[in-house]
Amino acid sequence: MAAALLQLAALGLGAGSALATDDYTLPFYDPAVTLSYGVDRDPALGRQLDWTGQVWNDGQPHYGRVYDQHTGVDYPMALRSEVAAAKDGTVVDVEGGFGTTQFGSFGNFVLVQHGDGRQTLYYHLASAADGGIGVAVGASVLAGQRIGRSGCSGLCYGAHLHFELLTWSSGAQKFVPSDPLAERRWTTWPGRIAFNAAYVRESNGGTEVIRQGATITHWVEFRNTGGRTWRNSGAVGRIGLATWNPAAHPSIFRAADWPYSWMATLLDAAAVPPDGVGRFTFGLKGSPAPGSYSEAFNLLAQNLRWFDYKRLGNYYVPIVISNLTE
Amino acid sequence: MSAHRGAFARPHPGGVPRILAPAAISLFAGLIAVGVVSAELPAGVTRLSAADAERAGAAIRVNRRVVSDSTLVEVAPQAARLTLLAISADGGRAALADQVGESSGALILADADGSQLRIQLPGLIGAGYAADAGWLAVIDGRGALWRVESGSGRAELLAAGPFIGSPSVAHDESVLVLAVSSVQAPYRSMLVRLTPATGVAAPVAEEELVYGAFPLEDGAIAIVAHERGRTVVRRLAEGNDRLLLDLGPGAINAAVAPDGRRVAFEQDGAGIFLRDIGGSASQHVGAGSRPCFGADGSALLVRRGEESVVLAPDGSLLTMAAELSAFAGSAGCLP
Repeated sequence: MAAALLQLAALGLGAGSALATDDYTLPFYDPAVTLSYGVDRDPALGRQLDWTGQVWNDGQPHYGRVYDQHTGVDYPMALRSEVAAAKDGTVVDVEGGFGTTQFGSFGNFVLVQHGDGRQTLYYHLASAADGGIGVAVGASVLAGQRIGRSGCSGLCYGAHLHFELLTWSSGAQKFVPSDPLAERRWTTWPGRIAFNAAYVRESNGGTEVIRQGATITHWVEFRNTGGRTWRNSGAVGRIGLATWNPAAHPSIFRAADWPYSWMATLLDAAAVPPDGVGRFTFGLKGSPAPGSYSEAFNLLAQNLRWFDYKRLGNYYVPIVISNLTE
Repeated sequence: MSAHRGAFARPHPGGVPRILAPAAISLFAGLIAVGVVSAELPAGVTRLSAADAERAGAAIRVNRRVVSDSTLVEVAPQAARLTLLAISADGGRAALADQVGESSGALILADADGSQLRIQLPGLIGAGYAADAGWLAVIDGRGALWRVESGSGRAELLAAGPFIGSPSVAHDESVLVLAVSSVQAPYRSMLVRLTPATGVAAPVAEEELVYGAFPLEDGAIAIVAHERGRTVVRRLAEGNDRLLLDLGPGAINAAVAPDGRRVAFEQDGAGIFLRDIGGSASQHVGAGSRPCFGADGSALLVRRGEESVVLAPDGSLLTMAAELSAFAGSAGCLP
């Protein structure tokens, strides 16, 4: 990962590049996954043009860059790793009949049509019986939604996801592969998965002391280190702060402003773009008996995906309920 | 999607196969040592007599026997683990690969008399013999299509492709082959007929994801294709495309009997099923994978782990077979 970041920095790419907000995000959830081979943008056999613009004339594979005639971007990952839609869209085709590691000419895939006219292809997936295909033809999917699990079906020599970004060619009258890395899309950014966050600060980093029966206000800020804009509206995908360990349990500290017994609050601002900082403000009510407690919270893209709690910073609020009553 | 001329017109930069990969050099040197390399053969091609192959520990036996009115060909390599790519129509010749995929590998043409030709190619995916076994259509590891002469091993690039699967050579020497979006992720594959003399590949069917093509006794072609999450079998005759069966989702490796009356396929890891054309019920015939029909459709060769078995349509065992086995003349299908 560090090497890849340095490589990007040397090329003058990265956070400062002109990238469209809410464009394509990495098609998985683990930001530690890096690419093994990118698209060969030179159609001639034996000559390769990789995503950095370097030309190779040896026809040999070059790890981290390209191999000859490759039409997609390969991401090595363990078998049955979760695979996510790279952008909102509609599933237009699936195949899930091949075995998870069944070697042969054909394999399992999901094909998604996006509103910008492009398609994304997720190939070498696990079998349908193994959870490889999590969506059906005609289903609407949101960016970051799980659509299947990885495998090694088809012409595959090691577990990986083969991801393609396809653009309609009016000349050829068919979809042709393009290079998401060379186009500097979100997928260019190592680690730029759809939903990710990092703890920034909170109103009280120590223990909150609450008189029994009273309600106090607490806020916490997280940086949006994912590839999607956080929003506080919409039935699916709005970002909320919810109880954790176990996930979505009814909280004994629920205050009157909580939208649900298990969700403390939605994002304060209407929208927080990638790299922005979002604040979550909520009440904590001293309902329980006097004593020492803690309540853990995680971020949730509602009806879509929990954030990675560890990458969030294992966030929890230590709470003491005092004997003094109002 | 329509096939277009440009997709098959890219020249190979070297013009000839890459022949001197390190592994090939060592094998080549070894064969020179035992005196089996002929200076008259094209570069990168070696010929072994039956005795030479035995001496080098590389013998390959090609045996034929009749099972249920079909000729079953069993291929037994002496040492190396090989992949069977094609069997000639008379069952007297077999094409094998020392490894399938993009890495440079050897195409091995084994004869029933024990002799061999070994031809280095830039990887291997599939092959199919011409009717007289005089040459083969071979797809290399990057999807390019070659014509390889059975006698001399001379290889000529026909089209850059990319193609995948087992090509089928017709009596007029045109090649039925699957033209794909890419070798690594063939989410689109069109059945095309390539005319070697002109290099033109013309689409044979409109289906955009064809898994396999099976020439039928009456001259028609049956194709197994994918249509939005489902697997279907269609019959192509005189430009007439007709649905024969809808196998639904999860059916893979479907094979059509030469008489076009029934289909065998794998389903969701549950083994092999048979279904009659026009029928709606599938009959489970047992465990296994990659079914292939014999010439008259009364025997079914399937893989079971490290071995192959021949089954009757009711699932009863007709005979055990070597791991590398195929019915002679079973174009488009290898277990």
